[in-house]
Amino acid sequence: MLSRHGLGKPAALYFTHTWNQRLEGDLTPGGKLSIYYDPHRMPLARDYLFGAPAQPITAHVKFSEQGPVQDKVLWSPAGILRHVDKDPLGYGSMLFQELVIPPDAEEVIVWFDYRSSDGQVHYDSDYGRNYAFRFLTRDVRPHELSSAANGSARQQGLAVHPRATQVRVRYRLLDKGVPGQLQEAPLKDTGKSDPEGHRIWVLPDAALPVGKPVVFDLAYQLNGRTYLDDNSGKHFMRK
Amino acid sequence: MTKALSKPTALPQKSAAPAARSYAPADSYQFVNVNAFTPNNDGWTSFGNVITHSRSGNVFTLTAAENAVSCQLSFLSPTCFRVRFNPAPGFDYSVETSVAVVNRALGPVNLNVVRDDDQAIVVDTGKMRVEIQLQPYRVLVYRGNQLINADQPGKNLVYIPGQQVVANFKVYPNGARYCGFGEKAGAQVLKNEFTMTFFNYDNFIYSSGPVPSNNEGGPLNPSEALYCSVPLVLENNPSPQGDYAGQAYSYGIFFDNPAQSYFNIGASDYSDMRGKYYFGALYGDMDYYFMAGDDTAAVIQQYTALTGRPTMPPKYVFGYHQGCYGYYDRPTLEGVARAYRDARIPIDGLHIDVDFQNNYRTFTSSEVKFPNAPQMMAGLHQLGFKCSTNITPLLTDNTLDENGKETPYTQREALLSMNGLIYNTRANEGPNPNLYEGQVSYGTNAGTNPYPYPPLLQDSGGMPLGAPGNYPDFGRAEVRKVWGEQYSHLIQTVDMDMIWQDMTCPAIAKSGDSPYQTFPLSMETNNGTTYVPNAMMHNAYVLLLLQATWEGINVLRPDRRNFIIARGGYAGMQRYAGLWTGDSASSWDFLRINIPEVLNLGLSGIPISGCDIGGFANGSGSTTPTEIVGTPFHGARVQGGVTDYELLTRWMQAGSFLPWYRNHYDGYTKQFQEPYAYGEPVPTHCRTYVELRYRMLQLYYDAMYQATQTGLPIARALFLNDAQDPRVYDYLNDQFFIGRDFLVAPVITPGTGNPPVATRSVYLPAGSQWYAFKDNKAPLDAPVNGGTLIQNWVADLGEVPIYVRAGAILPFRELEQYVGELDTNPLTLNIYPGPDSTYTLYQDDGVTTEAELEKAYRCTEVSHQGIPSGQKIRVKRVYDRYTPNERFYYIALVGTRAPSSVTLGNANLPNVGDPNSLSGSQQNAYYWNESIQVTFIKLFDTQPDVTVTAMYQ
Repeated sequence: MLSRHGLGKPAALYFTHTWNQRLEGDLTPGGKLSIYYDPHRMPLARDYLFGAPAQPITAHVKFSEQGPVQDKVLWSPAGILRHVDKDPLGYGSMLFQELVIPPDAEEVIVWFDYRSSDGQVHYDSDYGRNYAFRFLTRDVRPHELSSAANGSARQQGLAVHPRATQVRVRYRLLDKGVPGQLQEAPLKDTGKSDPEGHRIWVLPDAALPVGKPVVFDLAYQLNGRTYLDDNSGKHFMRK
Repeated sequence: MTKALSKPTALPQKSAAPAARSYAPADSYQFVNVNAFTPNNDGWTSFGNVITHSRSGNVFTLTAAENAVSCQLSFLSPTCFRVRFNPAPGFDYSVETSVAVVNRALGPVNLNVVRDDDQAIVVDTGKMRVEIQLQPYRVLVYRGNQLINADQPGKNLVYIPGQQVVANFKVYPNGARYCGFGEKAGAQVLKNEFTMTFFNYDNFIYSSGPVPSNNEGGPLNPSEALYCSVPLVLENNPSPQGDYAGQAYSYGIFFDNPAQSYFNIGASDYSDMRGKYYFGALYGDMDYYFMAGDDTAAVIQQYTALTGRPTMPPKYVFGYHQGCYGYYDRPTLEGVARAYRDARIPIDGLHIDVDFQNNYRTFTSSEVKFPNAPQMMAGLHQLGFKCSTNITPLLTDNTLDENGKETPYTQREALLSMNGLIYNTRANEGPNPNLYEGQVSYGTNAGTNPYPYPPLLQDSGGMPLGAPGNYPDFGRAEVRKVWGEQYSHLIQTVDMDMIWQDMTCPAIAKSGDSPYQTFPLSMETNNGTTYVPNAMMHNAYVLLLLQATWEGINVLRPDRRNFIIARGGYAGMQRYAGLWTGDSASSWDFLRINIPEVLNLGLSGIPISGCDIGGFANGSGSTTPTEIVGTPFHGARVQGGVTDYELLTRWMQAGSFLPWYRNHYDGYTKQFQEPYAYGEPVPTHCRTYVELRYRMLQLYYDAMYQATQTGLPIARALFLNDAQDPRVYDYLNDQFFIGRDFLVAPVITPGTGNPPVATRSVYLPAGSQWYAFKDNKAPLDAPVNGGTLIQNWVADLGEVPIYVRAGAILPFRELEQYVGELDTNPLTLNIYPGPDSTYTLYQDDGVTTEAELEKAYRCTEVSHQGIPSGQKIRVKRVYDRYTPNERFYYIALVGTRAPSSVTLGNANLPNVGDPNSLSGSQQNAYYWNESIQVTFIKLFDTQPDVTVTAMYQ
């Protein structure tokens, strides 16, 4: 069910000017994290020059709700640019920073501020909620179940963080390659746990249409937030 | 939920097993910025004193007192020697791993060792004297008694024990000029006081590559890492002074190292570099070839003997081309073809981007978007078009085809089944059973392309375009062979004419695993000999890819000339492909760098190169922001983003004189860029220069032949032809020659007024007189003496300053809308007044491989000589195994009064009085055109050696 892109690869967060926040790669405690940030998310001063240090944008990062904050000024590996490549995917001209995630991190919480030339400070913090990213490959793992009913059929399940709730699939049917409307299908908590203590959730066979490819991602609630696992932005697929 | 995305079982990694040597930790392989590679700082060890040395044939081996390291100096010819050094203990110099060098037998070597003791070895080759000082090591090169090159004293060949970095310092004498370096940004041909790195980088609009953080990035910065790496420096010193006093000299140093390398030419970016330059690399050998010459041409000849020269391409390569990322289906492409023919703008090439593929499956064609591609191609061929399609090294592992169905992807299966794809093995981490998967990003479809690319979904920014996939291990010969076979559908079924090799670095979307937008540098890839971390061979990957494609398509279609236009390369790429200079943007800065970039590529052995005319991406010269009009994915279209008309016109003009002439743009962000789509006067002005290009195409073809024989480029920096005039060095950046005698000075800055009128200066090199080019539409003006700087040459939007050297012979043909339109297209050999001169004309069929394989071509020496009261013109075939279709040709004696007689041998030719009569004449004849003061002589091509005499008594 879950074939991951980027498994084992260093994680990168992209904050794009189209107001997408995307995680690619494998975000893991003890691993590295690159942050790519498009400054056009901020109300830039007219005299803002991409990559020039005079008007810094700073990433503030912590690894648990109550944890200490690291403040890191973003910089431009491409130098100072008079003409930038505004790419909606975040692969263009981006400010950058990198950090090491502590081994005891619970999640990555990040927000940004920008000090413009008029002295004002502007924030990009998801309206004060800050952007939070879980360790998805730790929170959600494939779990194979055998059917109790007929013994030979195999159901697919997920082993999910024990405190997660409202685990659901958000999916689209591909009809001749064209994606249909976004729909949701909830998974069912079996009440059982795997040896690591993750709860086993299953998607009923009838929940997803058959006969056509389905593109989906996973959503779940944890600590009052909704987290989305979209497989490094590429979604999962069932054929 | 059903099974996971189907991936084939990983095959045993027998070919991916790492070599016995261990490498540095995986995370140590990084891109290192130009100011972070610091051999001029303390901490590097010099080769130092030599304790022993020996000679074997032409090879001298020196052993250093410190660390027992050794180096070798070997002679390849009387004017070329090689220095090779690797600080690894016990390094085996007998192993050659170069992918660039194809021939080290550059000439007979007869060494006269005039001194050999513990202080120095002095070797006289007959053409140069090389002094190898031993206490400490230092190499000096003399031509006669004149010093022409020297290592820095003391600190020259340097390394850091235990690491792999190497560098070599040379003296930067007063008056030295440095050029070459392959593909480099910057508005200057000369790169004195710049620091540069060579690392093939997907540097979109030259603004995404790493540069020092306080530097300005962009097209004016030569420190940008670009798509093609040629670590070659050419030094010219037209007026040597001091220790180097004497005649002008030239030399080149080719640093053959495909790892990230550097040239710092006296740039004090982190240290005091006055009076010196260095070249170095992060890994691998210090392996450089020193080539001495009296002039740059002699150096280029040696460099291209070392790294190879191209064969003659199909003649249409020198026509005009149009591409677009966004000709996403057959009706769109055919519409462009018809529009060009309707607009009567000559054109040969149409370039179809990755839209041509079935859901980004390399090597395929889309039956949905381009149904019945062979039929489409046949139709385009009938209209005179020759097409390419985009081929990247990615083999997508997306199992869905464009219809959203799982269907076989046979080309990928072929590479997979022979274990030809790269594994995700990282240095020092043991074999990895999983294939490496990268992600290529092709931008975003905001809804103007209605076709699905399953399973790609829209988000708020549109539909991201791209694909994940795997990459072939081109270092292995068997992989290259199988790769080449996969072109069979395109070459043999679709009948695609040429291949557009893209994303060659390879270009991979920026991520935590690919911070440099390419392979992880610690990932082990085959370098042609063994597996090494990609950092050690990064720049070689593209050369191996080009080799695989070139060899493959030539096996599939051996009787017709093939051609590759590539986005990247390494030294030696000219054997396989021409180069376009990557993703430019629509800006005056990019137009400004177009000329020096192409000139330096030509100096670096790559004769066919050019820029995306008009700019690929939007830039500061785009008139309006891009808007999407209509319902996305249901008839929406791009509006705006159009390149400013003045910029486009000037770029079309400048590009018409550069070897690779292709207008290409991003159709997902620009409404159009084809010149016919603009309002007047753009189509008329553009047509004028495209037509001129076609009428003078023979000049490019002849220059290309010269490149195949000597390495001399087609588009030439002034000093190549006029080295005798040191002032040319002040005017290199925006004027150049085609061949020897046709001088072009395009306008590359915006004008003023409406319509805009630009002003520029033009320098005419000393040593010749010059005629303003009239194209036989008006009488010649009086010649202008060379050494003249014409200030304020006023050029309206339809004008480009062009000058012809007095005495020049320029072959022109009649206009055709595409190469080969006319079954017969007679030549006119335009001979300008002036000193005697000779011109080599090259003719073949321009299509088949007979010229290369059967030697079916003709070389003709055309010469003219002044005699009392007249002029003799001789047309002599010097190699004659090809008969052109044309039965006759013309000689145009430009700038003449009415001749009193014109004779061929002893026979008087009749004066037929007017052009129509001459055209219709079935015998040799002439007439004099009074209005333009040109004598036209018609000669039937029946004799291998004819002399025509025109008398003006």
